[in-house]
Amino acid sequence: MVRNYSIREYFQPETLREASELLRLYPEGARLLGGGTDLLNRLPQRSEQGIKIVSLKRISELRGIRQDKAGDVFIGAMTSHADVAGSPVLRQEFPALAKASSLVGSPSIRNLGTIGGNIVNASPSAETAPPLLVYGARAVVWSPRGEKQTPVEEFITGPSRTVLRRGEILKGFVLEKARNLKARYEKLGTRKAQEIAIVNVCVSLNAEKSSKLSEIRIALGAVAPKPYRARGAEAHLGVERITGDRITEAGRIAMSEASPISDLRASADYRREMIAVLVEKLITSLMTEQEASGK
Amino acid sequence: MMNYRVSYVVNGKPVTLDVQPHETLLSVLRERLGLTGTKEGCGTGECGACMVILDGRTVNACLVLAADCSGADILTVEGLAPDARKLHPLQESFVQHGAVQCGFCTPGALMSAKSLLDRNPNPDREEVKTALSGNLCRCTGYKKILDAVDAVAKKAVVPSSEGERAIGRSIRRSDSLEHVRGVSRFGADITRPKMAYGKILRSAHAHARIRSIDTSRAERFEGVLAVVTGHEISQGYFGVDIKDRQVFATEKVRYRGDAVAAVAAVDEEIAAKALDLIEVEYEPLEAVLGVHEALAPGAPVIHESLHEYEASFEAEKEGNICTIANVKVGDLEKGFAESDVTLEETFTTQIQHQASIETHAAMAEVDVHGRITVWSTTQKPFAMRRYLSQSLKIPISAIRVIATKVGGGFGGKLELIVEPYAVVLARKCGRPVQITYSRDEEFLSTTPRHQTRFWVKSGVKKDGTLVARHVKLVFDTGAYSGNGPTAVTLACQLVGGLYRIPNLLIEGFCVYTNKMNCGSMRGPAAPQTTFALESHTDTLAKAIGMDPLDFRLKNLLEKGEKTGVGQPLVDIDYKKVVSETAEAIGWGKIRKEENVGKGMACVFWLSGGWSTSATVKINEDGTVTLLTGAVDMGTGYLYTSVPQIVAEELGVRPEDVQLVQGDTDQVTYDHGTGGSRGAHTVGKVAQMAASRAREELFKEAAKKLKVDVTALGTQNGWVYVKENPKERASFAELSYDRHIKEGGPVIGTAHLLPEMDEIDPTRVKGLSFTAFKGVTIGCHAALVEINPKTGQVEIKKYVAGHDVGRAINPRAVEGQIEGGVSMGLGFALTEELRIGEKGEVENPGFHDYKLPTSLDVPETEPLIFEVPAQCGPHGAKGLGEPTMAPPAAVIGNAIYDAIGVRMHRTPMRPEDIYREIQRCKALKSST
Repeated sequence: MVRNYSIREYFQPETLREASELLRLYPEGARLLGGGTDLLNRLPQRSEQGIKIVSLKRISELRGIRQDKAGDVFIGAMTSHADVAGSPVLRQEFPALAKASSLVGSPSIRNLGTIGGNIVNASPSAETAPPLLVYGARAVVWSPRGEKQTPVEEFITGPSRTVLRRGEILKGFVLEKARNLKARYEKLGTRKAQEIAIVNVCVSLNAEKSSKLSEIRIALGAVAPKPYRARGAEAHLGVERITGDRITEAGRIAMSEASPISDLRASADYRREMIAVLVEKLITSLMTEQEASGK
Repeated sequence: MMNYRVSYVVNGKPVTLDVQPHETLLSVLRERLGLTGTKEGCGTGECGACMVILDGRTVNACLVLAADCSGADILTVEGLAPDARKLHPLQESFVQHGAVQCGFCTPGALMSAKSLLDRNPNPDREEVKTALSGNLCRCTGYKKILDAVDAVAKKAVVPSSEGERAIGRSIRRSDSLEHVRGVSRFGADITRPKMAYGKILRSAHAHARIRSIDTSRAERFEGVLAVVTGHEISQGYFGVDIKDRQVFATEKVRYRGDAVAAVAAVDEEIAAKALDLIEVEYEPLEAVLGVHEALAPGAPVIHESLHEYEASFEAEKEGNICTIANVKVGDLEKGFAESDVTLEETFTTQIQHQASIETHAAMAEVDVHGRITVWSTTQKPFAMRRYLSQSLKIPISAIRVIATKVGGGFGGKLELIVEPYAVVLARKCGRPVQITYSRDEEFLSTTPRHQTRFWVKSGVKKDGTLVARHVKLVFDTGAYSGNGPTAVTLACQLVGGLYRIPNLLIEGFCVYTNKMNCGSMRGPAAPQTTFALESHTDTLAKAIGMDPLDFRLKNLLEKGEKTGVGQPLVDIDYKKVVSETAEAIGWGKIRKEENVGKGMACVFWLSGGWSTSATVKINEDGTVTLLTGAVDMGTGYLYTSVPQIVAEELGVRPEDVQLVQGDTDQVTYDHGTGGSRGAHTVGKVAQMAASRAREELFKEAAKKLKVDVTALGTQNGWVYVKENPKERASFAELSYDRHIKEGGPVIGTAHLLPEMDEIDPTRVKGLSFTAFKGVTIGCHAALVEINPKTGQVEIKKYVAGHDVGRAINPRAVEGQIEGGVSMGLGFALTEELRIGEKGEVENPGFHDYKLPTSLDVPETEPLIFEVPAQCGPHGAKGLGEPTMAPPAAVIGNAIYDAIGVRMHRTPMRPEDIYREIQRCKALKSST
């Protein structure tokens, strides 16, 4: 079966500083191990210098979901999808994120896989990316020189590429309390479990504003080299009263902003067309809910 | 290599050991701690066979590095019931509910269920489905697993399997205790002292000449024990119908999985590295990747020696075609001329893989006399012995094949796959050699279902009478003929099996291409033929404005009529099965809703055939031993129906029947488990052997009780005088007396070569065999909802009716139906092995070869019909295969009913359906 004989050494640092030093010490062979669900399936089978696994398991700074007094939430990078999906705070404040994590792979993959790994892998179809984008989450990047925060949308720069430089580690995410922000997430696949999304979409509506001028955010996954906000479509909806026609038009704009590829899972055309379908569906359902609650 | 000291608590006991950095928790559990109840099905976290509970949560042990979980508390299946005398309630419930078929996914499923109930003692059905959605099961269709978990949560009463008679009741399968405890020995669980590990070097090209093979660097590599190529061994040709294949390619490779060399080494890592050191120089040839290309004039020839190959039948061959088969009835042109409506359609189907959760594995060991023992995951131990003998030119007497537990076969474990490589390596290096296929090897180089193309033209009268049909069917058999000629023959038999077609022409072709060799997957030709012909049935019905049910009822064959090939139909009642299945789905009463449709489809199938034999012994304690050459590939017939038949014949309890099976040195010949012949044919010979053993008992009892044998009966292990039941003798004393007084044993043996059915020789040409006698029908119906915006299909209700002749074990029958529907829906909706432009498999893993999960499969309602077959034991007919044939046509017809869009290709993924909807819309607006 699959054996990662290329792994030659294993390290279990207890602090981010130690982990970072290992990354600098072994610039070629070191790989950070989170949940392992992607990493262990992707390691090269042959490696001259050997892979050095740096496990993040014992680093307490990477763990936990904490809410501060202002209501802002920190999610440690090593938080499993199961913990994201089951967290009462996240289910209450950021339900679309909890939903996205609840749809990753299968229960055991959700027990192993982490939200940090999901974003650091920078797969175009990463489940948690669209909700993190919609909620305006910031990635907390640790480096020996200190911490900095980068919007998740900017953190991912392309397929399997992020802003992280040598020695830097993703510590977690900060999500500001989303007052009156209602969000929906949907993932399209061929099966109901164990799927990598053909398209995944998260849409939010700022319910605080009057329905005359609503703020809509749309984030899309699996339809471009990286997950992104469909700003053209958002702008189209942000200027005046939202009607059915405008929603349909927004779906079309979102479609035109995408640059999907064709692969085994779906053709580029299908992906593009499904953007319009899902965007329209999620906005309509958010609007319907808002109207119902307004009455 | 560095070692890391780790400590765990495994099943309540502390363990400390040193592990290497690449080792996974799975390899430590299996190889270091001997806890082989945790299985390996993929190695990539997608099948769930290696599920364990780690610190209270389920994890895929293949994705956890052993060094990374030091300090963990780990529970495996072996730890579920610490008291060896008791089962955990979940284990008990799995056994009782028939949730165990092959047993390979069972330990993983148990761990997921345990973890769920620990967290949530009262889950609803959806929560149970979700909890098991990471455990792929290829056998059960999940329903019985869900039932078993539900029952534990609800503390429900265990369903009773009591009854007066041994047959007709749902006894638990006798080996399920081993499966739920995780102690069953599957292929990869067999170990031998000093065993070495084998690996196979496969072709890098779809079609190429081999210029040279240099193994010298590999041979010098430290730890390598043997390197073998085809040049240094004597090779014979082998094949099911046409002997066109060799173990190693020597002059030419014909697909990207062809074996070029094999290596044995002290460990798997060294064997893998040594493969990299073998240098093969190829001269690439133009590859033929589709039947269209293969049949084109001037196409590259894949088998230059086609006409020299030995064949088991008169095969008509030319170019890249290895079989041309024809069926002709009546006058086709006249038939079309008489028709009011003629209509033609073309259907295509994909490569579907058996995808048993257990991959192929073999161990070969050579003794000091040179005699070879092979432990194999085969469905056919005697045929395996013969194949090994033919392909490696070793006398049959020098080979012993022992079948291990088979973790799902579905026809994928019928042929010579991994075994010969283990044998040649073991012979060369003098140590036992084990080879277990990885999941990607499984997809690259085993024998999946044929990709097909069906062109169908039919003529029908306005009143619904079918008048004429012309079918051209092409099977893409890949690089070797494999089971292609048989599959084409079956297709020819199936096409004319359901309906009265007075004027019929079938032209069947089996074509070579540079892809993997296709074989026998559960009901070879059945899902493809059923999809094409039964979809076409509904298109025809609509064309003449007739309800599809009425159209079927008008044209279905009746008892006494003949099929297309001229097989006379006895012991059938098609109309009963079809009309009652339709009634169960509510046909005619369903209110029309937008985007919701109903569909039905029927399958004609034949089972039985091929030689078998059995021995039944009465032991000195009155228990019974059945010796059979058959094996069980997971369906359970050998652990339920067959002992029930023996018990019924003798008048003992089924649990008093023990089995000796699957070892060519210990038992007598059986052709192999396939063709749905288990309960039907193996059951029949077991019944015959039991009947003879009873005669022997009666002879002994007649002397003892001083009556004539005709005055005797049996019950509960006693022979009694019918007129005076108090006059009796126990099986135990009769068996022992025979030994002491006359020299035992009390034994019955029987052999059976089931008669083939008559067909009309003037109608057929080029078929590889005539028809099996065990004719049956299945009819499935469903209610589905389509989302026209995305193409997604939601199955709201699914009913599956099958005529089983006699349900020897009703729960086992349900299990076959539910599992078959699941596999058939995979064929219909999600599964497809894709071949790229260079002949490579594009999706050799479970992430993109999509088996239905517990959340995808509807809860099938099985309907059991019993129209007894004279040729089966107690009337039983074969069942395993036809269960998976109808779903694609059912779903296609339901989509057609719902939105008027006809799907002509499987699988029907959401995108394919969406695309077809768009195409139809565009057509409409342009006209």
